[in-house]
Amino acid sequence: MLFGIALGVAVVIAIDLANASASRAFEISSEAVSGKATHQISASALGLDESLYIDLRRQGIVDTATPVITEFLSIPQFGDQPIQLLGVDPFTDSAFRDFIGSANGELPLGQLVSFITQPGTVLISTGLAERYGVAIGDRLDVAAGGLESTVVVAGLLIPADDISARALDGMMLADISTAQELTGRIGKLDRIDLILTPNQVESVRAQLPPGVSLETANARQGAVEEMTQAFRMNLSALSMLALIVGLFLIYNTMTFAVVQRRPLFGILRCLGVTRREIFMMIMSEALIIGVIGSLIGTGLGVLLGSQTVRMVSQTINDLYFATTVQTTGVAVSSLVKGGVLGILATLMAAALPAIEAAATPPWQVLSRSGLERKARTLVDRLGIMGAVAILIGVVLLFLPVDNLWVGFGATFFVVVGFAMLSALGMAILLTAFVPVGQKLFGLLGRIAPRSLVNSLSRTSVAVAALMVAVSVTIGMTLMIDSFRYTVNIWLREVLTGDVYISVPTLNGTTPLAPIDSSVLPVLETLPGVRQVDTLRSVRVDTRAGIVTLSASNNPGIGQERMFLERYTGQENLWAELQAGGVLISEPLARRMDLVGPGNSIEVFTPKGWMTFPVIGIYYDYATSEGIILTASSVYQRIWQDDQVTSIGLILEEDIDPDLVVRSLQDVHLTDQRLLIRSNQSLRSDVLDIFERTFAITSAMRILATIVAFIGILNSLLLLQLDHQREYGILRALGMTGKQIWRLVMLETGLMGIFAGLFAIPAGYVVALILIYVINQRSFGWTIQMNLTPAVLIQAMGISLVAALLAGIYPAIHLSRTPAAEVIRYE
Amino acid sequence: MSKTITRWVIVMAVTLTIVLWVTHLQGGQGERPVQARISGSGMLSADGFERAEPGRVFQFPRDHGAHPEYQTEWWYYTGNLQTSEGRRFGYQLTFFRRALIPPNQVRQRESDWAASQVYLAHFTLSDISANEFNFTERISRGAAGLAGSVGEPAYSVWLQDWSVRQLSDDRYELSARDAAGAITLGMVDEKGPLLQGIQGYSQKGPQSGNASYYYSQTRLHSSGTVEVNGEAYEVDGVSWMDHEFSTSALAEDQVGWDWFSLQLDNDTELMLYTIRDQNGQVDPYSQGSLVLAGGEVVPLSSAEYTIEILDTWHSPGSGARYPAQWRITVPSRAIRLDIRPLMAAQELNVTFTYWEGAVSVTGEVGDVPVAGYGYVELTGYAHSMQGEF
Repeated sequence: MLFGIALGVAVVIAIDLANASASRAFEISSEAVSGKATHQISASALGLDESLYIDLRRQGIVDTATPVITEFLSIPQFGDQPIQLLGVDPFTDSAFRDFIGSANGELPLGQLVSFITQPGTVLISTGLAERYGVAIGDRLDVAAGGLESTVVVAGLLIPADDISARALDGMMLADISTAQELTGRIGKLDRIDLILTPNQVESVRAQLPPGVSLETANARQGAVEEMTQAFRMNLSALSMLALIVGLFLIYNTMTFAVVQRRPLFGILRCLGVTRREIFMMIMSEALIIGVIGSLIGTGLGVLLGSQTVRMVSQTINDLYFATTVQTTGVAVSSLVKGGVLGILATLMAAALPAIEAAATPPWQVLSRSGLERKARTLVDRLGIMGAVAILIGVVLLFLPVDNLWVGFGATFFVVVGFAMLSALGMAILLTAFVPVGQKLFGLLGRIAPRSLVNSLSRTSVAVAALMVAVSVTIGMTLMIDSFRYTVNIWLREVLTGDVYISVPTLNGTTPLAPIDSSVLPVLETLPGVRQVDTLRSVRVDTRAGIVTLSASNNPGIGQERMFLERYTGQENLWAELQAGGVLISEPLARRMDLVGPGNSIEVFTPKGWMTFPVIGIYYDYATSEGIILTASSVYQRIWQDDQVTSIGLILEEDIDPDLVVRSLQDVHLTDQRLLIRSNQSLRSDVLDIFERTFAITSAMRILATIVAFIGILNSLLLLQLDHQREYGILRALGMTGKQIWRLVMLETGLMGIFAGLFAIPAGYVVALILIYVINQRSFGWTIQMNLTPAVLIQAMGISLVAALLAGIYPAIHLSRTPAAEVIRYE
Repeated sequence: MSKTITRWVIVMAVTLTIVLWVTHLQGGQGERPVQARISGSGMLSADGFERAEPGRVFQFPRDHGAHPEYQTEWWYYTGNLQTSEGRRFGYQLTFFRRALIPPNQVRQRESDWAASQVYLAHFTLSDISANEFNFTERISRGAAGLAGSVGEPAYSVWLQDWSVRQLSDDRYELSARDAAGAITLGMVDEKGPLLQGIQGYSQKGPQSGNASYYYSQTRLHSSGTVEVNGEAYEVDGVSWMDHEFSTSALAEDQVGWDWFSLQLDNDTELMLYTIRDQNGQVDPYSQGSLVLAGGEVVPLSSAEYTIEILDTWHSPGSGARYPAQWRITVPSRAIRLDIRPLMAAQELNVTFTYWEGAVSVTGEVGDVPVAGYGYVELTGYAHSMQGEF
């Protein structure tokens, strides 16, 4: 029982820690990067012209403003950790960030001479320097968007406090000139940070050319934060499922503990102990157990947390943005939350049996048959309640509320409903099993189910608890398997090229760095190449935040996408794309509510806001943020940009893609670092990312399975020990040790099988909800349900193995102990 | 019995509330800014820069512009203005240049932002009748067109939207704006650039090289508008310009200077400065000049004049005590002048703290009474000027 609480609490804490850490990491790093800016000026997709800033300055239109360039760098000396390059102007930056100029505005010019005047000079934090043994004057190799260069550490940033240390840990500071040179963005800025009073905003906005926008600093971060929030909530909700499993096990155990001591309570009541005292007694026990379990769980949670933090931040890296903050410390709030949740859950689970025990009149408490009689009428009522609960769950699911918690509430009701129904189901099925059992196992086959029916008060609770535990694992497993299956099919459809070339990215997101323009002509004339497809991906602003816009030159793009909906014929698709229509990915369509014909999407372009009709919605599992797909010709016309970010080669039939990949890797195409992959290896890379994304869900599934397994073992063991006297009587009546063995195994086996059996429909429903409601709402992805028998066999296996294992000890114990010993009363 | 349950429920609810509240508190603690300080490499050094030596031949407008081969340089514009109703304003617009590295160490760079020069500027407006003094400091890299100074084809010096530019041979336009006010002046140079010291070579200390190149435009007739508190005033008056460039002008024990630029109503101007050492002693390298009506410059050695301090003012801002009233005598020229600040509080508390303010002058030359206005600069009273601009 302790274990159940502990594990439940541990899972909740581990997930909460990971979520808190992810959210804090985002907060810290974005604060370090955006500082005290109230507004930001940025341009669509291709960066700002630096002349805008200089003009605003020379005309005195802005007073507190500073230019910024940001880019993620990969630095081999610093391992895989992406490093955020922050290019700033030290002369104007101190109003925004407190790490170059000191807080009082004084600039330590003497310390900055090299930093400002020498090319390739950077500052890193003392933490980073110490960790990798880097000193002032040391050289580092850096790559920004495939552009490789060497920088010199010109100084160290000494963080003022712990939080600053974490924020600066993944950061590299460079003068704006150096940043332009390292990223190859000569003449460009990423954004201008501003501190504006409300009445300045319009006058600044009036000065901006089309294609340049002024936004509040919060708006930008808010959009990203919102994206990850759904993901994080999804995780917390899943962790709650684990706690619910734990809760059922607690309930089961507490009920058991109460039921077992009914005679004791009866005697106590007869001796004059009040109901209140009985209630308090049970609740105090629960409190003690809850506290101990939660304490263990908290410790366990912190241990697990170190893993989950890594997994969650990896997923956020893959799906949303690169985070450079590695550690944020253990959030005490998560521990408190998890601990108290554990205690409260224990008390809640204990309350029902406690009330039960306290409310029953003494004479009835003393009689076991009274209890069982009550139990049997209860079973019917429970069955009705279960049906009602399932109904409520279903109604909740169809409520037009776009809230994940409602979805999880529905899941909860459905699972509880099934649990309540399971008692009735068991009573019916067991009775039906009697003749079958007799045929198969003779007398024992009759005794076992009847004995279970006769002690429904305990067996049904145990089976219900087991069923819940197993169904949650089934649900999660089904979801993950279905997802993997869906992504596999999708990849097969979408990746039709033989060789793919792009600039390596630091996370799993779409490559955005342009490929050197000298590369494409070489590939176009390469022998054996039938077709060269190019994709230009840029980040653009929409009314729902920043998304990726990809421009394709491939007239057959329509055949390489799987459509959720298409508002034009396949044959017209390319023509409509060239006429300015766009395809959008499913998550974006769901997020912006653009599913259905006749919709359009607004994009901020160099010509200002432009509206593009949506001509189709396609499945895409690469990003949950969403993609807008357009034709190259349209993009080039509006953005005046003919660079490409990824190239796909379709080879002649008889050419071996691996050979082409190897030969391209051998030839020196450009100084830029390029990633040249065959279809096979790109696919496996994408699947790797997928596996990483679901690593945490898989981990939770395993934990839930362990909780379930231990729970089954635990409760069946207790149940059998409670049956000792009955077995003793059977021994006394002449049953052999071997027969007792078989009887015990039969009983536990039956319970295991029923738990597994009931868990299958419940698990299926949980999977349906997870896939079609929860996942779709949190990621926007449609997953094809893939029901494999393996999952069901596994579920049955878990229940049965645990059940049989649970039978071993009592069976051995009972078969060896003389009957007299067993039935001796007190 | 139900009471007990109720009690339990209440206890649970309270606990839950507390937990949520604590959690909430925890969540709100992330407001502290990320802070750090820098330990960097490189030092500001005078090595590699040229030093002021006697015998320089000045060429205008080229020499109005920047001289990056010298480490520091400044362009000082001060002036006293008044409206037709007699409302008086004083202003200062000063540009400082500091080279981080000498020109021969500057590397060829792709980015326009690559900088070896830092520009700093101070803008003050003294609204005498309102007794209001406002100052603003700005700093910028001398790159990407954000700040700089050129002499040819026409001179200009600018930092963002603060600028002085040459319109024609003797005409200039000055403009600056900050949150408190703005100024736009057209200026006509009535006497031409006048070389101070020995043909523009101004020795500041005993060692060779403790010197600067120094010339002035002592009578720039100025007219335009001054804007304070959203109100624009047509003004007219006289400005003074000093342009000085050097590499480490101050000797080691020199901490600051008192500098006077006085424009008298007899069409003469007087410039005087005294350099003080750590003990408050006046350095013998202090000097001055008298500009006669015809534009002739008469150099004055420190022995030729006396500056008597008649009053002091204690700055509530910096805590420094500044001289606040003076009597200047130049016996050889029979000049006796009393100098009074037009208002006391004209201290700038910026990167370095100093007092620079509009003053009025009364007195006699021989038996003839004279009056006038001017500007006084007092440095090194709040802290030493060593190592500053």
